[in-house]
Parts: sequence; structure tokens; C-alpha cells
Amino acid sequence: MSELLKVENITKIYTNGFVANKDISFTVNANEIHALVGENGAGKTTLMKILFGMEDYQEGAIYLEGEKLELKSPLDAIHKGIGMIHQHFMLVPSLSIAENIVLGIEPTKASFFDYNEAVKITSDIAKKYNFNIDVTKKVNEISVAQMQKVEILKALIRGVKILIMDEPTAVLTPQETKELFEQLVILRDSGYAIIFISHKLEEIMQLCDRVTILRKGRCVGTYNIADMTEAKISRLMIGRDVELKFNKKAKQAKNTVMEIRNLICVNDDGKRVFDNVSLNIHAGEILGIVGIEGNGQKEFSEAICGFSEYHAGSVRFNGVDIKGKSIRELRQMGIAHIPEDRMKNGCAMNLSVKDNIIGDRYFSPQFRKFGFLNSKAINRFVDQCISDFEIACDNRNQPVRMLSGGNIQKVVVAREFTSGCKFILASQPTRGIDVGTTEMIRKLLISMSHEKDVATVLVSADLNEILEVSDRLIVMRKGKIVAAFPTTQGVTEELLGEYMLGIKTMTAAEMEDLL
Amino acid sequence: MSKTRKIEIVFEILRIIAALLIAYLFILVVLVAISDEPAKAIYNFSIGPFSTVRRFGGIIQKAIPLVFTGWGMCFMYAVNRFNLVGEGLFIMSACMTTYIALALEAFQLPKVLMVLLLLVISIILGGVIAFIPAIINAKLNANIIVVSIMLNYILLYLTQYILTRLIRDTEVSYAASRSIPLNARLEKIIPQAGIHSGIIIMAIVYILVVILFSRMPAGYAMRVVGSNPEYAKHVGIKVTATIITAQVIGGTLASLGGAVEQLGMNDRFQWTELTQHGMNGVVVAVLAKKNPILVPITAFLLAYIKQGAEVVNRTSDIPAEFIIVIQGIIILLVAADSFLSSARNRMIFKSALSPANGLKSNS
Repeated sequence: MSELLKVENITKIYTNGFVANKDISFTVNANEIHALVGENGAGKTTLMKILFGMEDYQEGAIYLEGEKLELKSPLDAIHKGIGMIHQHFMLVPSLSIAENIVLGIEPTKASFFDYNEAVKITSDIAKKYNFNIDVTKKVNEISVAQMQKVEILKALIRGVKILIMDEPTAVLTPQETKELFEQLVILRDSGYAIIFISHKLEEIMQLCDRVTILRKGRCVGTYNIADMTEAKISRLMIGRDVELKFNKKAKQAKNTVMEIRNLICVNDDGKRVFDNVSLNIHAGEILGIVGIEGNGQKEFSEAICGFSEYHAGSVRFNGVDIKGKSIRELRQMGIAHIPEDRMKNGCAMNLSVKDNIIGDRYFSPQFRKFGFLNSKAINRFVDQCISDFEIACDNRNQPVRMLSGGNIQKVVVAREFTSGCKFILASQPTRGIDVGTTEMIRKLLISMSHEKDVATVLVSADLNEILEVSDRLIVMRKGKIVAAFPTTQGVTEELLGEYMLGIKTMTAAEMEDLL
Repeated sequence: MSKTRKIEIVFEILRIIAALLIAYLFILVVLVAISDEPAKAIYNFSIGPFSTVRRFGGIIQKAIPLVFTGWGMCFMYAVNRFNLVGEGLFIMSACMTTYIALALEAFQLPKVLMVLLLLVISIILGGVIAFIPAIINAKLNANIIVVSIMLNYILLYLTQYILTRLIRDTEVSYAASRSIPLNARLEKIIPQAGIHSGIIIMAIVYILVVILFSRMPAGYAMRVVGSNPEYAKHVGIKVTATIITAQVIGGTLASLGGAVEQLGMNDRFQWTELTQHGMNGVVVAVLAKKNPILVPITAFLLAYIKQGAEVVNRTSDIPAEFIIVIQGIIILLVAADSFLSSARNRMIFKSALSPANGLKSNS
């Protein structure tokens, strides 16, 4: 087996002093699918960015086929033969697949773009690797799984030898994942090397040949998959056993907290983002909402708690219509929201831990004295939060940007969970954070709803999380509810996948008492 | 405090000191290059401002209006709006207080009442006028820099209208208002240094500004909105209202500065072009890292450089305009975030790798 890529003692330190990678060494062979695993914050993403020329590094060297690489940019990396498939695709929606694939290396005839030639070469390469797509279709008409194929073809046509895939299955249903794996195996057997980053250990066991494990920025080692088990990998990744299964008590039906009737939202294109959705949410239950990204579950969940708009229908929270209420009023009524993007609206990166925890309540009488901010009361409260939620920071005045992703999320969670809420929307609450914090947040969600009767809506792309945490489930597709399950008992990821993809749909009668 | 944070703070301070030093050195080099008597020019520039009580008083005199416009800009910066209306407000406020003082001359109001009335009027004027670019920016999404600069010229020509048509003294040959009545002027409290009671007003406003900025809920909301408006919206802060309020407060401060300068320093209103006090306020605020607490210090530094230039100008062959070049250099160096950043990063890398510190796990 020929060694294609060699990484030697890579050390990367960010300007906030965080050591993301320390002395990392591993090799990747041709004809190999090489898994890279580690908790979030272990340095996987940084390492991949280094290999793709997006980040520089302080020490170490990278060799491609024995030749030392000095990557200056992603473009440089592609020229040298390293391609990367990001989680978010970079495609031009209004152009056809063929045009997207040849963008930047367009075939020409008499110095004009030769569309027919583009279609020919792209469909040839698609056929060669058994990618079943119609290259004349526009990108805005195709599914996420197909967009991913376009991204792979884009890399292949540029002659890369190594393909880095950053959690490629996160956006796919189980069925689409299976198809992707078949294609990756074909690529492997045609001589490519694939670096496969994933959190899902069963996928790695199923697909990969070798695995390199990172922990806290260091390389634990590279192992043959044949010698490993999921439990072994997980122990090497985390250094201890983690319990992500919870004992939940059976829930009793409680009063309805939120009544949603015929809710509709129309976007700028006149398309219905969610369409005529009616639903009741009760105290003390966790309702999981699943769907392939872009099927309206994000917009719907934010609309029901007043954080984004809807155009028809009504939402009553404890009997009060939320239409026209400001976010401050809604929060004072008892609505809390852990937003999907903690960097964008979950916190202000340059402000301190303190300023980020009191953001929604700095004006409340509890924290004021003669109209001034009462520093003593604020500091006491913030310090309590820091210790209750185990936020690892130097002190309450440390800017949030200096914390790790998991600790930033703890700041957000500390704010939202201590707000005295009666309803909480948790959007992707554990996306991209370490296992320890994930465990803590899931436990908190369960205890808040089961012990304090908070009505909880959980929106997550992590089906495993949804199945573990939720009491009740709905599946959304194209803005409508296509399935509802009164309990997660007996529901599998595959079954959810079938509803998410539209292979199966429940009728209104089937769901009648479940919404 | 973590090592990284310490290094960041140390370098932040170093960066400002280095910027000032480089500018200062540049001044000295220029003086040597263009002056016939370089030694004398350098002496006059650096020591000159402190050599007599009157000259030192000159620094204070120059610093007072800069403190006000600097605070004004701190509030604009707090909500991330580069609203430059302070420049136009400064001259407008000076003009309006003169106009009203002259209009009320016949009533012979007691001094305290008269001055207080004029200051209140300047505050209202500042708030109302600063509201204009703020609301245009918020509601129509017009570029705040363009709107505020255009407004500055409208304000300038309005003052010229008032000056030539309403308050001009026809007995002098140049464009100047009638003499400001004595009951409207700020008392000179240290006559030998030429320092007027505006410094007391400044001290009072200092306390108010600092309390508002760091101790009041409204000031907190401004900082949050400026730092991340998306986050502010998410936690329920009224973003647009906060942004407009901050600019209105910024406007009142710049306007108050104009009134204090006019009533404290001048006998007549005779400005016929923008005074650059508003723009200097930008320099002061940037040097103070947009923190109003530090503004008096940075205003003093800038005033010192200005006073030095004036002394040099009066005693030698150097034009006073060269300080404008110097200001440009200071802004460039202080505003350039990356200045000295590679040295800072090297320090951070080294400290993170040092065995004593161990590997910061950060989770």
C-alpha cells in the first residue's frame, strides 16, 4: 500500500492562546478510507483546515507523496491534490450541476463557454464513479444529498487524490448515507484516499480501513478498524465511558402550554416555508422535531416562540396570543430559546461571561438599585451560574470569545435555563460541542421538563439525540408535519429517515390525536 | 487572569503608546528636517507647552472641547454607528447659543440662569439634530457617514446664514457676531492660565457620562447592541431604539462641547468654517479605546500636541497645519488592529507552549 499523505508533528496555536493541535502525526495511504475521530474541541476541524490550506501552523510538516507541502490557500491545496467537502456546500443555486462542476475550469470553444462539452465531461465523470445524477439540472432543484455529490465531483474533476470529508453524513438520512458509502468505496477502490470525519462510530466501523484518534489536541494513535470496537474507540476518544442514555420516567399528560393553529409562513419567493401547521405542546413534555435541513422545522420552531415571523394562523401561549409581542415581552411571559448558532445570536463574543448571562434580565428589579445596575447582586448571581453550570472560565469578566465551544454553550444554557421559563426551544443545543457538555445539557433538558414542568421543543439534526431525549416526536417535510409519534419507543433512525425523505407519510387521520 | 488575556491587554496598551511614540518621533524628524533652528523647534514643541502657566493653560483650554466631542464619539462607537454629526453640531451649538444670548440680552437675566438656559438649549439642540441622521440611517438604511457629513455642511451654512443675516456686528469689518453679553459668558476661574468654568461643567458631565455608560441599564444595552446586535435582539433588547438613543446622547455631548467652548473662550461667534473639533473627537475616542473614562486623558494628550504645534508655530518657521499630518499617523497606527499583532501572537504561542504553563486544555 502506498503512502500518500504524511503529517508530521503538526502544532497549531490560535491567537487566543488555545493549543488546538499538538505534535500530531499520522499517514494516509492510497486506496484507503481513513477515519479521523475525536470529541468536539479535540482539534479535528483545525487539523483539516491545515491540510486544506485554510490555517497556518507553528510547527511540523506535511508531505504529499514524499514531497513537502507549503499550502497557502485552499486553491493551492486543490492544485496539489487535496480536496475538501465541507458541511455547508458552496454551490451557485441558479446554475446547472454541470456548470457548477466546471466553474473556474470551463471548457471553451472559440473562447466562449462550451456548455455541451461541460455536460459531456461532467456526465462522463459522474458515470465513471457511478454517481447517479442528471448534470443538466439546476442546483436549486436538487436535494442536499445530490449537492454533496456535486461537491465531490467538483473535487474529482480538479484531479485531487485525497478527499477530506467533514461529517458528510450529518445532513443525510440513513438511506442517503448508505448510497454515499457505496460511492466512497468505489472511489477508494479506484485509488483515492479519503479522510472521513464523523461522530458516528458505527459508520466508521462499517466504512473505514483505519482510524486516527485525537484527544485534547493530541494524537492518541492510528489503529486498524479490524482491531477495534466502537467501545474501544470511544474510550480512547474520551478517556472515560460516557452515558448518553437516560432513564426517563413515563410522562403524564399535563395542561397545554402552547396552542398552534393553522400556522403559515411564506418566504420572499412566495414559497410556504411551513404550511398550515397545528399542534399542541404540553407542560412537562419534550417534543422533538426532526426533518432534513431546510424543511421548515427551524423557521416553524422559531415562529411559535415569536423569534421569527409567520403570516397566518395563531399561536397562543398559556392562552395569550403572541402576535405582535416584543421578544422582551415574550421572555417575560416565560419563553426561552437556546438558538441554533451560539456565535451569531447566542452571545456577544467580545463581552464578558457576566454580560452574556444577564443579557435578558439586566433591567429586572432584582438587579437594580435606585435605577443603577446593582453590581453586587449581579456578580453574586453570575458566580452562582458559573459554579452551577460548571463554566470553565478565569472569572466572570473574561470575554466569552476566549472560552471553548462547550463553555460558550454553557453560558447560553445558564442564561436560558435560569430565566424561570415555562417553555423552552432548544435548537441544535449540542451541535459541535464536547461529549461531557452534551451529556449535561441533555440531562438538564430532561430534568427541566420532567421536574419543573417546562414545555420543551427540541430541534436537532442528531437523530440519536432526538430519540434519546424526546418524549414525543414529529417529522417535518416541505413545511408540513408528515409523521407524529406519541413515544420514541420502537422508533428507529431508519424509520424517521423514511418519513424525512418522503418514502412514507402518515395521513391526517393517523396523526389526529397525536398533534 | 489567564496568561493570554494578560498578553492581550499589555499589547493593547503597548500599541497605543507605540503609536503615540512613533507619531512623536515623526514630529521631531519633521522639525529637524524643515526647521532652520531644529533644536529650538524641538524644545518648543516638547517642553514649550509646559514652560509657562499660560501655555499650560492653553493645553487645558484645548482639551475641554475635545473631551466633549470625544465622549460624543464614544457613544456613537458604542452602538457601532460612525455618526460624525458632532462636527456640525459643535459649530451649530456655538452659533445658536450666541444667537439666543444676544436675543435675550435685553432681559438682563442673572448669570447662572442665563448660562444654564443656554446649556440646556444646546443639549436639546444636539439631541434633536443628532436624531436626524440616526433615524434616517435606522429607517431608510442610508449610510450614516454620508448622511452625517452632508448634514454637517447644512449645519455649517445655516450658521453662516444666522451669522450674516441675524447676529452680524456691522461695526466690524470682518464676519463676526455682536459681542456676547457678559451675563452669558463662563467665568474665568484661573485667569492667569485662561481656564474657564467650563472645566467644572466638564467634571460634572464626566460623572454623569461614566455612570450612564457603565452603571445604568441603558448604557449596558448600548454596549450589548454595539457588540452584537443579533444577540441583543435575541435577549429582547430593542436594538433600533437603543442605537438611536446612543446617537442622540452622543449628539448632546458634542453640542454641549460647542456651547461651552463658545461661552468660555470666545467674545463673538466668528467661525466661518468647520472647526474640526468633531473630527478630533474621533481621534480622542479611538485613542481612549472608545471608553469615556479614558477620554479626558487622551484629549489632554492631543491638546498637548496641538499646543506644542502652536508654540512652535508662534516661535519659529513651522506651520501649525503639520499637526494634522501627525494626527493622521496616530489614528492610522491605533486603529490598525494588526499593528504589533504578530509580536503579540508570537508571545501567546510561546506562553502556550511553555512547559510551566502546560497544555491549556480549554474545555
